[in-house]
Amino acid sequence: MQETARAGWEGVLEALVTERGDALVRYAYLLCGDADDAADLVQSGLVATFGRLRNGFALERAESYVRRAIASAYLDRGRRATRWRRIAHLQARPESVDSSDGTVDLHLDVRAQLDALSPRERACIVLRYYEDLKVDDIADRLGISAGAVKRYLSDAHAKLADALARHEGDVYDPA
Amino acid sequence: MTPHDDLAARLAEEADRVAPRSALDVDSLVRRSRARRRPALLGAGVLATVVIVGIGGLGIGALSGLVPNDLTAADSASTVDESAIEQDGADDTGGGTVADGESALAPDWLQNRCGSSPVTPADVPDIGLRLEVDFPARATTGADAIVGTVRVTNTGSEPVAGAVSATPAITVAREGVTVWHTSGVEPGDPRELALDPGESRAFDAVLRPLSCTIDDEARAVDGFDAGLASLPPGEYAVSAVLDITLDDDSAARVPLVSEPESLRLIEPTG
Repeated sequence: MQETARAGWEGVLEALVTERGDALVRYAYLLCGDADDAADLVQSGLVATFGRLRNGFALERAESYVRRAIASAYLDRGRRATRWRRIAHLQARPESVDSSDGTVDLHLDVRAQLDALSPRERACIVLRYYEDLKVDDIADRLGISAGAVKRYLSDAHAKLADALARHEGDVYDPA
Repeated sequence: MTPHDDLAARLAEEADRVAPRSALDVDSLVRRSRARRRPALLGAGVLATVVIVGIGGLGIGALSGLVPNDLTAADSASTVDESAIEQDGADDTGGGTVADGESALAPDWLQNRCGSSPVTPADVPDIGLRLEVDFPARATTGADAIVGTVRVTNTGSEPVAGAVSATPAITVAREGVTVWHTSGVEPGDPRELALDPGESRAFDAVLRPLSCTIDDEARAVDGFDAGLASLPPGEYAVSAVLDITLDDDSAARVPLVSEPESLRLIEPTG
């Protein structure tokens, strides 16, 4: 049957997937480190959000809600390690491992360092540097205190500094 | 390039490396969302997680005597209201949960920050729960705290179960601008909530008739600094935000927002 133009929340969902779907997957990928899991997170976030979203919700707010749901799902999965394909994504790296290329090495190193972060540290780093959120906004999104965000960022910086400094030839100072 | 820019650029490069392999299937997502809309109100299953309204008012110590351990229950005569949630669920193809316990996400656009326009019920999903505030219509300026209640009513046709934050978040606004909101309270243990159609439960809540500014907001880390000025006499609007984590397979958190109620602040007599 030919699909007709969607209305109401279904139209918002379709527009969000069409216009922002890739961005949502990239965001989820940085959080979880695995392309397949990222797609799962996005789909879960969309269903959880639009499973209750009424008509009249603007796309921008719907996206904000979905991003929140994605982060929530990611952190929740982090706590439920048995349900999380942590091992799989550590073992099955995406293609493109052309050794001797410094850029590739850097990608692998950055990814490895992200994988070494705790879920909350990683979430804080992604929200701070990829989403460009301020500390207070990260605290709002993750539902934790600003002080906790600063601690997570500080710990994450310390872990990331080694990897980044190796490629910079100097000490990485996020301050 | 600053370290911030450097890391941001590297993260962006890393993100760009993932070509979305599994294209998001709109039809499937619509079907799953439709299916989710119905069971969301059924309230079956195990209470999964905890909720949060990430803001609170007086410090948990101060609130401990004001907020009861158990919700006060009161049957209400609320009639079943229309729900904007379609009941056309079909198949449920499953999907991951979005349970949220420790993370306790509270949408930042629901925080009603000082100087912002408070959110309204129209800004949040309608899941068949109505939130109402009940504070004294008149109070004196300079009062330390004003005690009221926040009531959740099931206006739908199905039972709703979940968990709500122990502390409702209250907003005081004047002429559409937030002039105070609860801040700095730990969320506390969540409270189980199960409401049949028409049933309601009430929470104790407090507000402080103080005036906050954008600068106060910026300085606040674990709550506003001491020394906020008292609100001047006048007409204000009081509203509440409360999150519920639904007791279903999604365990999704849904914010509830009340319509504003009027509060007149007057000079103390004598």
